[in-house]
Amino acid sequence: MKNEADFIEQLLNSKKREKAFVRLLDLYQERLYWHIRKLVVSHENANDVLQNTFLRVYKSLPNFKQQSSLHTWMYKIAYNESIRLLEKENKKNQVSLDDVEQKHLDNLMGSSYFDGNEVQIKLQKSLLSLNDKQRKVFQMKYYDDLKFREIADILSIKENTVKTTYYGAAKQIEKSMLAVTQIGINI
Amino acid sequence: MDLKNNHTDSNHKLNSHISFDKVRKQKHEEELGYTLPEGYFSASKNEILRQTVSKNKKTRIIKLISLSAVAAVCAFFFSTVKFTNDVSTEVVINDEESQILISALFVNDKKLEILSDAYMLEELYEEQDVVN
Repeated sequence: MKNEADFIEQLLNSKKREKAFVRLLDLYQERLYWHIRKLVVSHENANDVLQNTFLRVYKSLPNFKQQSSLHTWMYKIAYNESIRLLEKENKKNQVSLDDVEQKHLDNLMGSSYFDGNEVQIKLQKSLLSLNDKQRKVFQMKYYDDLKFREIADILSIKENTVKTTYYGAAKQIEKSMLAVTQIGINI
Repeated sequence: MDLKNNHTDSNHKLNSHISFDKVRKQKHEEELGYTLPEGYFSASKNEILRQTVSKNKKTRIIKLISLSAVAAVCAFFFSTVKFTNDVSTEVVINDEESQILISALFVNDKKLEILSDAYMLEELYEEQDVVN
């Protein structure tokens, strides 16, 4: 994409970087926030991770080697920052791997920025019933609109594995949601 | 919830992000129950810019001021040294021994060797004359 190539050129040019960075922020702030929010759940943590993500992006821009698209690179940084925060929190609160899902749900229900009705809570619980990889893949595909190739790149797994994981997760979600609602899911 | 409509790539285009942001926000709020403080994205944008672009500009200004200060100190230092040298040169010019020492610094090694040899030979001749 010519536009993206020009945009990257501006981001790499130290004289044009600041202006281009403001545009980058406009383009990615909201989408990265939602990507992060689903991973870390609470708004406060999502806010911290979003700030750290853009700080890291700003510092790393001169070293951006264009081995992946700017889009994937941004998501990858946001994803890594989210995982870093979750690991830090789990270590601090001594949460075992078995308790991570419960902790996730507690955080969600206790958050002042969660206003879920019965169906929304059911969907959140259905997402938590998926294993970690399934949940991440499903969220990145369904909510973040990322391509299978991009998800594979971010999670460092094969594209075919991403596809299989996504369809498996979608079926599971559909099944559990059909049990409580009449909302149809077309896979 | 329609999983089929998800397979679109058009949101990757740089200029169509605003409407997609709205759809994304709606989807997260309506399906997942997530809410946000009012005016969050605007406040967050300002905070990020304060920590990145503004901070960078501030650092550049501080650097510029520091460099100017260093340049001023250097200028002051060199003018002081020059003044001191000017004064001491005047003293050296008046001192004959120092003048010789300074001139000696500009004599190359070969010339110095010839001179020292000549001096040694002269000394030897004088000693011989005294013996004789």
